[in-house]
Amino acid sequence: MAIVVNLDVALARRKMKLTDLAAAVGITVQNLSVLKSGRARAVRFSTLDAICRHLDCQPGDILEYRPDGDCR
Amino acid sequence: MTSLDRHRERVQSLSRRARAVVLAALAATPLAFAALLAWRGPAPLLPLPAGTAVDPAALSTGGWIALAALAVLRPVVFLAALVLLVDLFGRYGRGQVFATASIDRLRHLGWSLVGLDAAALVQGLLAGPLLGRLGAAEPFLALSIGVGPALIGLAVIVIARVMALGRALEELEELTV
Repeated sequence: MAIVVNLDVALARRKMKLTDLAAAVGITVQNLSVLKSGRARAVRFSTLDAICRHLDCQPGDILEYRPDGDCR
Repeated sequence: MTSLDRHRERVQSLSRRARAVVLAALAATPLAFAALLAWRGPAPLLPLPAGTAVDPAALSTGGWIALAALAVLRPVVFLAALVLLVDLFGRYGRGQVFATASIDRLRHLGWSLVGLDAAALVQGLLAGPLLGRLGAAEPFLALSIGVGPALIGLAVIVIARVMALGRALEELEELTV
């Protein structure tokens, strides 16, 4: 998939742990780990909304489109 | 509790109850067939043409065993279907509705239902020649064609495919954050 998830970068910039974000957003650490590792097949707008609100960022800070398939 | 959770709970609850009923049938069926076999002999379990007279006295021990083996063919397939049903309801009761193993059990159940009519066909084809060879009846050829269980079995096989689609949707749901 050409969509790359840069959640780990966003967390590192804000010095926030995945567990803390999961608790703040209201989803399990496992689910958030699925997103962070790029294994997620879909993201709900409600989840994206909660993540952006707690990280004070834009969706583009977390999601990136790399059309050549150069995924991390 | 979400709507999804309510549906899951309902499926599990119904499945546990259904499993208990099928378990009771599974326990009772062999006893019933054994009693019928002991009381009336193998003839009532075979699809014989109306008016066929079977002389039990003409059957040797080996002949009786051979006839009984043919007679229990359909009950054995029926028991296999019940075992699959018990296992399937058990899996549904544990929440494994769209698991690969559950879908496989459902498909096997479908084929076992088709097998019920196939077994009746085999019984019908073999009963006449066997009884004739054993000297217990005039030789005949019976064609027992039934489509009830077979049609239901085919429907169950198609439903198993639908459940496989459900599994794909469940996987998508699990990987939706």
